[in-house]
Amino acid sequence: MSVGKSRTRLWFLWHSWLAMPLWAFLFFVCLTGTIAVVSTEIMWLVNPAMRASGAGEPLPASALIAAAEAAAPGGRVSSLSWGGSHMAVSARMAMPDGTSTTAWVNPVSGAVQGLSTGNSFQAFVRALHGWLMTFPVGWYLVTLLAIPLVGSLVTGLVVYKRFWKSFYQPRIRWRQAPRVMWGDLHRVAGTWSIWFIAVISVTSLWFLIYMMLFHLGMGLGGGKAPVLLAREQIPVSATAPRPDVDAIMASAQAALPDMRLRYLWLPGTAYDPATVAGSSGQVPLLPDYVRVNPFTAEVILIEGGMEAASGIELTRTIMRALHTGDFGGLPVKLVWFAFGLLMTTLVFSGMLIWMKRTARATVEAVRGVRRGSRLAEGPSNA
Amino acid sequence: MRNDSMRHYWQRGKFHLSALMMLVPLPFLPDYFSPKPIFVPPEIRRDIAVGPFPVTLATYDEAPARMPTGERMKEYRIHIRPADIDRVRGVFLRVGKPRSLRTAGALAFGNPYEREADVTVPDELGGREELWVTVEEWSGGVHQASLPLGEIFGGKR
Repeated sequence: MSVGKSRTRLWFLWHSWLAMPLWAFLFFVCLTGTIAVVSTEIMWLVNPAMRASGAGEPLPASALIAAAEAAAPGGRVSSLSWGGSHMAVSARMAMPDGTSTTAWVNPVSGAVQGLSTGNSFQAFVRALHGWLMTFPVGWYLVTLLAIPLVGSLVTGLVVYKRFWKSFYQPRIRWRQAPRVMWGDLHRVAGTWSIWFIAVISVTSLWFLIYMMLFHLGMGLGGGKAPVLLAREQIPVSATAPRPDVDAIMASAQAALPDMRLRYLWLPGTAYDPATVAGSSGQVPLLPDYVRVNPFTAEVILIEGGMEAASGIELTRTIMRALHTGDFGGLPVKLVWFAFGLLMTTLVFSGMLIWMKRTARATVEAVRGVRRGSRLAEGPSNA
Repeated sequence: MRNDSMRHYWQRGKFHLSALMMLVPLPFLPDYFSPKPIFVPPEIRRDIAVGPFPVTLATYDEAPARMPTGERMKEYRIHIRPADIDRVRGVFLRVGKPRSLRTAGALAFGNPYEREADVTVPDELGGREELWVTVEEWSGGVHQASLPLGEIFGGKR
């Protein structure tokens, strides 16, 4: 065997052994991640209460809040979230028993189409995918997979010479033996997902680094103090003044006219501003936050774009957007979903190939060696 | 022979062992889907009158958590009567008597029926510390009361 050939073989062994002992776990994480990308869309299909037609003049935020609070006795709306014209507005409410409830409000008719309590399916899938519902141990277990992922990508490219041919001459022999078909599929799917695997492994590696920084006590807050109102700015009255939500929305939208509205957070304490958030398209991937004085409806501060926060926080936002594909609406999500499926297939086909070829080859090789050694030992044992 | 087949199963099966990782989230599933936590540590509750407002403090019977910044933090939940929630502008908690309203301590936030406050706890406790509760009204009135920290601290000390 030439030196080059044996080196390739070594790379190949690395490629097999990096993922194989972990394949089932990696498969699980890839699959749940793929589902997480479109978890909102899945719920939209399952739950009619989340749907809206998008036709008609939308009601002001105050009317949506009033409708939600009327549907849940004692409920106090803490935030509204707009998911696009095809979705009902979700109103999150604090309930008297300390729990929270979400009301799905039709943005045009103001009808409350449904109430959901507890954790959402989206949060569940995210917890399952991101930290196996076991924080922070699960977070480390999952993000450590970034290392074999990077390794598989690099060794795969070294092993699969002329992989770029798969771009213009993709060949999958569907009618051949399953081993051949899975092998072809693995190579073609792998080549086409190079960019995606790179994005996912780099962002996962970041999630690992991020948590390590956090646990090492390095500042992640961005160093900016939260925006608070001074006691003198708060009116004195017999009972809590209810903020004029429509005036708050109007000043936020006047401050950033081309903003695509995503959230309204009402103040969490008497000293907090109200926050209107959305993406104005100034910088792709980065949302804008408009902090508004809830009593006067004056804009206090616009935080957004590049100057939003520290380098770490900026990195966090970008990495998160790239990992989840949640930055360009449904089309980007569907691309992420498709490549997520492809990557899941890649893990599965890799395992199948290994079981069908490498395992058998190993067993045979071991058997051969043993038979050989037994023959060699024969005479001395006798 | 039997040894051989066991070895065979091991050889083939060992690479699927990582599937066991999927068992990790299982114990947490029921808790996740119930609106209120099912498995909660025991809770300590204390009632205290702060001026005209009856207040209930609650905390888990656990030692304070060590933050990555090195601080010790204890989480308290604060219940006030539903009839009072629109009269109360702020509830503040602090270990030790505040010198002024500006240093009243951690401002409680979140659900107005069950506000939450993360209180900084000194590293060394002498055992005679007091937890001070400050209630500020929308009309401007300020009321204070305190209780021994040891009564509502929890965990082994």
